Amino acid sequence: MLKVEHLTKIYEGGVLALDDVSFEVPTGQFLAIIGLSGSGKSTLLRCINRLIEPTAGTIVWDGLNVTTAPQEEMRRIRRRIGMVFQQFNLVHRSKVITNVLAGRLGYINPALSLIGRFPPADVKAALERLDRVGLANKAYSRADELSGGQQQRVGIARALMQDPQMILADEPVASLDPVLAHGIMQYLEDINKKDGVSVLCSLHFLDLVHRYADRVVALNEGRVVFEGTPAEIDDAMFKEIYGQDAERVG
Amino acid sequence: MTGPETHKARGLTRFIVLVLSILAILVAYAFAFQRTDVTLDEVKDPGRRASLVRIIRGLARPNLIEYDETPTYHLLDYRTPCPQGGFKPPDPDTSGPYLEAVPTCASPGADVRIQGHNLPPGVTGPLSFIPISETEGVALRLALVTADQQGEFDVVVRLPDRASDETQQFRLTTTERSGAWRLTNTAHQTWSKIVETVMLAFVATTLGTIAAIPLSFLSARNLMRTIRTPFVSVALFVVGLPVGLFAGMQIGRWVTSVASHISTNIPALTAAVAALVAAGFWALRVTVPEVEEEPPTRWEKTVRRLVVAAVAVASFFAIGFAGNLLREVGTTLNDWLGPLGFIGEFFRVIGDVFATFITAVTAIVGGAVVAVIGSRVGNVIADRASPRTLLIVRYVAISAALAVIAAAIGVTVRWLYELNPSSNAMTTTAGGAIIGMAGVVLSSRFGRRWFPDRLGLPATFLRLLTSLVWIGGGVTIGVIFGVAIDGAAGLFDASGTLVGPILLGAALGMVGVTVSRRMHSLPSGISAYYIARTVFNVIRSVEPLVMVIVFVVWVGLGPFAGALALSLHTMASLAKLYSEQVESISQGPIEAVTATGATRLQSIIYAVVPQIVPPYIAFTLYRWDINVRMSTIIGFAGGGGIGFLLQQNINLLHYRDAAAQMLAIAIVVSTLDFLSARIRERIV
Repeated sequence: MLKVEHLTKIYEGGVLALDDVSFEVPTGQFLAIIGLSGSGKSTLLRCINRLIEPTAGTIVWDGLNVTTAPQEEMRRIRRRIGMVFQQFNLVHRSKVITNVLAGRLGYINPALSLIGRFPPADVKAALERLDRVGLANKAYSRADELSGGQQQRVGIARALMQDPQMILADEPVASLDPVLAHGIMQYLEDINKKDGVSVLCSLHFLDLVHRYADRVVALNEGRVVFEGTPAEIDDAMFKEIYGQDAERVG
Repeated sequence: MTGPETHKARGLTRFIVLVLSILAILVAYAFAFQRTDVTLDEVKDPGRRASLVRIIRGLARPNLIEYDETPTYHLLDYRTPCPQGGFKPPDPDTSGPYLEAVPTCASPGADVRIQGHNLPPGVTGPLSFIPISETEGVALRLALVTADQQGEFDVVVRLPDRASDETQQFRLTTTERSGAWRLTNTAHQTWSKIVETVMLAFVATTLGTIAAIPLSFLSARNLMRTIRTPFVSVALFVVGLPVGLFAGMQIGRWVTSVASHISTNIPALTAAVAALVAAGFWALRVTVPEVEEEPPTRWEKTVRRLVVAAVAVASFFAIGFAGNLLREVGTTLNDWLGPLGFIGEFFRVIGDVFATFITAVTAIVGGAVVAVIGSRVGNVIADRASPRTLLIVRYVAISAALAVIAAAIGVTVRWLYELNPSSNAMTTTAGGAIIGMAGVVLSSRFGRRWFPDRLGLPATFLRLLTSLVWIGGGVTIGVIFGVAIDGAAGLFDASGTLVGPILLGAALGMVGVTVSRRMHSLPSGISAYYIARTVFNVIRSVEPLVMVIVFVVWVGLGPFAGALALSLHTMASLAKLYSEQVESISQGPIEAVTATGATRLQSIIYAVVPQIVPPYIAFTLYRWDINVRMSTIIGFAGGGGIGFLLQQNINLLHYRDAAAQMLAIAIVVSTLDFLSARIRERIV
């Protein structure tokens, strides 16, 4: 159970990115976060694992207060929250398997990382995760030799490597074409349904929302303007979320 | 109003500005010419031209190879003045080379035409007159002659004023090469020095690079910007530093004394080092798990810390023993290896470095460890303690920290200016420095609010003025306080104590906490960034050629001084270049790795390092290139390498020798340039 209460983020320079955002995500739910570019979706996701420090409000996850957790405890929380990014954020020059193994770093003794070593069990697990996303044969290729869709699958394998209880996906398919987009979304759906991992996913296309999400939170200028099931988004609601001039596509 | 008129006016303004700019540039150049003595008067002087030609010709013939030469003398009898009835030399053997004179005799001072025949074509040699003389071997040189393609020459010389009744002689000396060519002494010297030069550049580049890599992360804005540290942590860090330094120094002394008493038996030393390393490794392996699923319990944590501390102390001993071991092994190898004895010498020197710097290393490590522990404790207090406790801790810790800083300033001032202990200058300086620093921090923090940017230049000036006022205030408080302490000197019996600065620091700390009550944390990362940047810029601005002078005083003339100077400069330049590369990497992977729960160190290793490897290699090669060039001239200032020879030969006007060295430099620099370009292509 993730509980976000009165979350507010004001960036240096006074930009109000999140304005008193509150919602709840029961364990195992697939939540889509929608809204225009700049509506605060990325900031919201990054506040949940505190890649961005919230200005005010509280986030409680699994009984732990995320917002007040000291550094050490925060690392323990982060290692159970996987994250998938729009730009994949792989280390291009590293091998695919190294990128996947990076998901284990939260569990590994930092002294061991100094010499670049991973326990053999982790290497085996990394190959299994790669197999799950269909990239076992690419394990020892360099990450930048892969196509966009393959890179995002490596990103998912990295998140899986954390044995996460929640995955934050920040526009995971915005850089991909529609066919690949469904492929990636199906992996997330699979993880959500089979492993019972909660997924918080910000999305652009409403058809993807209808197809995959259990519930939707819509943001506009940092405020929650809608919360409910995908089916409840009618034309009026759509204009509320995306502005009066917006037109529905797809 | 608008239209052609304003257009015309604007055109006119532009024209005037253009004319004025041209005039200004002209004046600037006129002044520059005057200051730099640009003049062609000297250049037109024929004497200078002759010198230039001589130098250029010397440089064109590098003194690299030589031959054994045997001289051949061609003689012609001659009489001066003419005897009665004239003189005719005996008929020459016209089958070989011979000389002829017209006339065959003449008065001293007369012009005589000398011809040579059947000489080796193109041969050159001095034509001399051999007078009858009491001393042997006098030869009056008349001309340098060169035979043409037919082996002939024809020259008119003036007879010297050497009248005699006997027969005298003209002599042409030609030399012929005999035997194979060989390298000159200069060539041998040049070779040995150019090797020294390349090695100097190699040592400087590697040492500088190793030091620069960790420092470059410290001076990368994107990595440091986000780091903030609670006030208490910073204060406890500062307090922990001297405590740890002292403790570390004691451990170092202990290690040194134990190591100096231990046997110099190589097997025993080897066994001791191996046992220490193995035990340490095993202890760490057993107590610190590779993978951590659950947070460690308090008990586990304590055990781990104790083991790590024990292993640290053990590793100091291992280093101390290893120093002894290397020295012994080195000395033995030196005897055994013969021509490869330098490898043994290398081990011996490394051992010596270990043994010499162990105390410094333990002191620094100790200081760092205790300081970090202090800041960790600070973090815990800042996170967990109640506001009231936190406030009390802050008062104590920050007062203590400022007292430490003030004492450090006091010690430095006393050492630097050799002040006598009771002088209040220490207090003054400490107070001035601390309040000054606080002022600079505050005016940079609030300066923009007090004096907004729209005020323009005056705002900058006012901000600067505020800082100066703060420093002035600090000095004043320091003076008053120092005088008061002096007055109460009996109270403290202040011979050699630092009571003044410490008290002042503590008092200022109290004030500081009261003023900064609402500030939770300090931007420690960005402060470290600015300090590192400033230090690098200062070091970088001093040319290695100047730096080497200081090192020559310290380690003596020679390549070691040059290597140290170049290393220091390399470190500062590379740290800057590297850090700019770190700043330009993509942030995404760092974000992704941080999100997995990695520590800052892990995120640097897995997300930053892979991105910066190619540019780091490129810059290192580039720097290696620069260092080879620098090391060729570092000898000018006593830093070893080929520069010393070059300078000597230029000063002695031995241009052919200098040419040999310049040629060597050119070959080495262009070869390495080519090589580094190829390596860069391969790797990047």
